[in-house]
Amino acid sequence: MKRLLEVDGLSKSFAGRAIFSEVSFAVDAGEAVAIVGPSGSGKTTLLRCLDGLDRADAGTVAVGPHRLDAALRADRFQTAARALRRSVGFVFQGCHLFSHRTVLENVMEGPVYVRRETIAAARERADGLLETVGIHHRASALPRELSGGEQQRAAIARALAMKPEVLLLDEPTSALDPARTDALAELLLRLVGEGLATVVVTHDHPFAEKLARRRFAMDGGRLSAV
Amino acid sequence: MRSLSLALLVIVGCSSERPSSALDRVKRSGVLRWGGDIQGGEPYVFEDPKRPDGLTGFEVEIAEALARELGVKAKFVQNDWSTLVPSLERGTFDLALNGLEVTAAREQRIRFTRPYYLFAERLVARAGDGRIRDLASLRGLRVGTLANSLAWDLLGASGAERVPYEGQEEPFLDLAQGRTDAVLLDDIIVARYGNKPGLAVVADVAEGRYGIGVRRGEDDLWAAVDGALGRLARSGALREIFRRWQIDGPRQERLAEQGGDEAHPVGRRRPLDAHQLGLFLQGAAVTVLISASAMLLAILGGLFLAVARLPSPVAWRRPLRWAATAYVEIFRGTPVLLQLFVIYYGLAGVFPLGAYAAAILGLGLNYAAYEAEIYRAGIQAVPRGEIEAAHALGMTGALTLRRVILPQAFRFSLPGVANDFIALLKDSSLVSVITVVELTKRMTIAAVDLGDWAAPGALCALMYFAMSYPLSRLARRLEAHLGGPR
Repeated sequence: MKRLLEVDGLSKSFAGRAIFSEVSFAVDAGEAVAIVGPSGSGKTTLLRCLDGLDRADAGTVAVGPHRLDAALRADRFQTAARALRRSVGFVFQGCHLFSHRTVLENVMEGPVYVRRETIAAARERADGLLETVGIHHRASALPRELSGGEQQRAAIARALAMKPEVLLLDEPTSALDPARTDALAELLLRLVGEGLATVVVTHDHPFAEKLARRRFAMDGGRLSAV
Repeated sequence: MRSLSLALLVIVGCSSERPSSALDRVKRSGVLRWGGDIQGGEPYVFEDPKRPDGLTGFEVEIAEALARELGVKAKFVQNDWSTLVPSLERGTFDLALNGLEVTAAREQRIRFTRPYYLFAERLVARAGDGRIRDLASLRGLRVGTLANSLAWDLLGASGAERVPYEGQEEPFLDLAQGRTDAVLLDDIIVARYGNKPGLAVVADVAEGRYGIGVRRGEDDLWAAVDGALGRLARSGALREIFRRWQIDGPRQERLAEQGGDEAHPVGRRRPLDAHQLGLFLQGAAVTVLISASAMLLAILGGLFLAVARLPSPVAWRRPLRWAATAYVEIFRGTPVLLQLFVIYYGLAGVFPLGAYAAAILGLGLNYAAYEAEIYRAGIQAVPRGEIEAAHALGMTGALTLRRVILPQAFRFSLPGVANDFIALLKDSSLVSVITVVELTKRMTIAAVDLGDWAAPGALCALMYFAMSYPLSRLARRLEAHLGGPR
């Protein structure tokens, strides 16, 4: 299988305390990886470093031809991070939908303004994605009118609209009841089956087991296979 | 109840102790209070360069001579020249003595003594301007003078567009700048302030007389002052004063011969009629025009300032950020009145702006500083997570600003901006200091003309309210709308 995400020797410390050190792993196309661990174990920070939202102290993240090296100068790091994000989608725990735009507009925003697709093309894809995640009937609602589960799915549709090869999800089940959790796992498995490389950070072990054959535990700043 | 009747008793007691005559009051207090405007300047009454906090001028000497005749001391009371008559009526001082021209309109409200000075209304234009010959030739031209003066009335009758000033030097500065076409003022003023390069006296178009104003009903004070003035004229002391100030001449000779009995009716008292109402509406239109234009400038300028002040890792943005902060602090930290003066008069040599342009620019630049602060608060209210989500989609900083931060920040700022617009609407009355006749200035001019502050004041207030109330309703609706759950 094609190797899509490669993490090599990633370390980060804060205020003299190591959050994680020497983390290395790789994810292939069509593979889902789960990182589990108690809250405060640093798994969210690790996930953010994979997208350049936070900056590691050392190590590299590579997605296809794009390499994000922690040793880069600040402005170059930002440029490299932006290039990397063209292939990486990120779903935040808090969703962070644009509150002044409808669900449909949220999903179209990236394709129209970053990928410079035509409105018609972006609209067609956004409609399809909202069907896929099952909230097409809420397309014209504002984020504040959605339930937690609907927000979660809108955020996933927004990330997928950018046609990412890698999808990073931070605690995607925290706002979901068990039935919704199962539905989300099925959705993600379908996407993975279509070739998406996925990294999920979660403290929900059953969800991790259902989704990912490879699972890591974050413990004392190191990743160990489960 | 007891304390109320006690208070009434005290008030009644006080009023019954009031001296029965005005002359008694002056003599008992030992001071003759006379009103004038130092801003009127040389040679009438102005600050003595040789004596700190002392005053000098030919009218200071007249006042002192009159007080000596009455056996009391003269005391100067500062008052805006254009409101000397109403201030005299309400008792701010005993005499109005400051180049006050004897007109029929004023004579209906106050009593003038015999005139003490005969002057000419002198027309000044830029040298070589053949259009301007006499009063009739001024129709449709912009002519500067003091508001509510005899010249103001003459210009109104001639169909000229009157440009009102508070001080005596500014009309000539603006004429030299090309902001007006001519100036019509008393010959004494022209002699002192009109000697600017490029300006020339065209003609003397009318004559007028300065008299001393006394409140109606204070006949004994009037008789005493008029009598004293007559003695000063007969003894030659008056003309001695004029000679010292180099304002004596054939006209004063004539005045001494005439004795000043001839009536000189100019202007007439008018009611608050449809014509005045039209002028008020015009003033309100100017207020709206200036406020709306200034607000537009403030919104755009404030947006630029707020964006310039955002933290940025880019090195070249840092001086810009510093400059924007300095701008906001300076424009918020100094009075807008001062900024208007500087923009209109101070920078006239570099940027000769018209009065409207200067008014809009001055208010707009000032309010831009306030708008910048409102937007900054609005920008800070945009959820941090949404900005990260924009970055995660691959948006650049500029795109994030345009698509995510500013649209939300603007919505958060709207109530504050609407509130500022209401404040600006009322602050726009300040631009009358740079000759713009907006609603408030129109009201003061009409009030002095009509001899009544109540009706024009109420009309003016009503018009401001009609403009600001819909805005305040809008601001409240916006607040309610945006205050809900996000």
